[in-house]
Amino acid sequence: MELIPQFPLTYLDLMLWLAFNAVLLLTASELLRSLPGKKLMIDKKRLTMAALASGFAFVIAVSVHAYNTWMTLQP
Amino acid sequence: MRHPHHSRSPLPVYKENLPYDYVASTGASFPMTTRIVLVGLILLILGGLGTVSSILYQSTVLAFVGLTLILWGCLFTLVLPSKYVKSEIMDYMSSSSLSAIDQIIKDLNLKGKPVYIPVPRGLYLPYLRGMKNEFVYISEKDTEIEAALEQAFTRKPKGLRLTPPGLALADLLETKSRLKFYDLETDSLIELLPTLITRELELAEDFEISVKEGRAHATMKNVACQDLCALASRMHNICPYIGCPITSSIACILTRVTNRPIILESCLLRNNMIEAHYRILQ
Repeated sequence: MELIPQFPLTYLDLMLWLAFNAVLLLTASELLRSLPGKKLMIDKKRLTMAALASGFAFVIAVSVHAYNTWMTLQP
Repeated sequence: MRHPHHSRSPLPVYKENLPYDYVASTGASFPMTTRIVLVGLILLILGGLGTVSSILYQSTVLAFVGLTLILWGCLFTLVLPSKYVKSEIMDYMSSSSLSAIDQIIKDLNLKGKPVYIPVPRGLYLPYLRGMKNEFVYISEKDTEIEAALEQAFTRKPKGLRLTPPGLALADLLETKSRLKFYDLETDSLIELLPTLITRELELAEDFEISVKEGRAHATMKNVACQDLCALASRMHNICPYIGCPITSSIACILTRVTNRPIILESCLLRNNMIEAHYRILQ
């Protein structure tokens, strides 16, 4: 029987990756927001939105994981 | 005899000011936004290849690298690029209008001091069409302000009614604030305006305004259209009395908030700082 290749990352790996990127983007957007003037050609609002979206995605991922853990602990 | 046009020095042509099609067809470098999108697309392709390879070779490192490249590719193509116009282009575009106003005042030989006059709410005069909030009035002779104010609302005044150069900018600031400047208190404006100018529109690095005893004082640091202000300072009918688009927009806003006529008394540009003094007439 031929094995179907699977994605090598687990759910926890993806959560870690998401957390890392969320922290990176949120830090970058906050630092850029405090930088006055148009020193960088970046749409700061859109970057902040993307950072918040990734942060929100991480929170949802954690919530789903917590819910699954809680469900498995149920008798 | 040489044709007068031949004696003119040719205008400098800047490569980055040329339209995209021209730049692309001549093989010259792409505009910045296009370059960012191109880098984003390359990152997306590399990320896609990395992710597929990670599945084929069952490599965790490749999967992380692939996903990160996809994320940065998405950021580069969708989030980072924004429509920016070089301030130099904006300066060139606006300078002609300012020059035209300067020339009109010079040709009409107007001697009066320009006054920013609010149009009373609910007042409709057919000859004031297009001046729905405030306008600048310059009387023919250097008369008293009260006489100029009376003249300003007549059908055929002995002077000139102008749309202020900063009216559109004042409207934009009002739209961005999501407030009606007519209903705003002066103290609220002092708190609100710096945020609008430095954060929302990013017009200046630093902005301060104070209103005290019928006078207002505004200070701006590193203004985006500083070259235009420098250009306007050479037009003696524009600077300091009517003002460049930025100082004029502040005059418009002050007119709206105080509902009083405003005079731009002085405007000084030095060391990347613009200082403007306004008088609020009672």
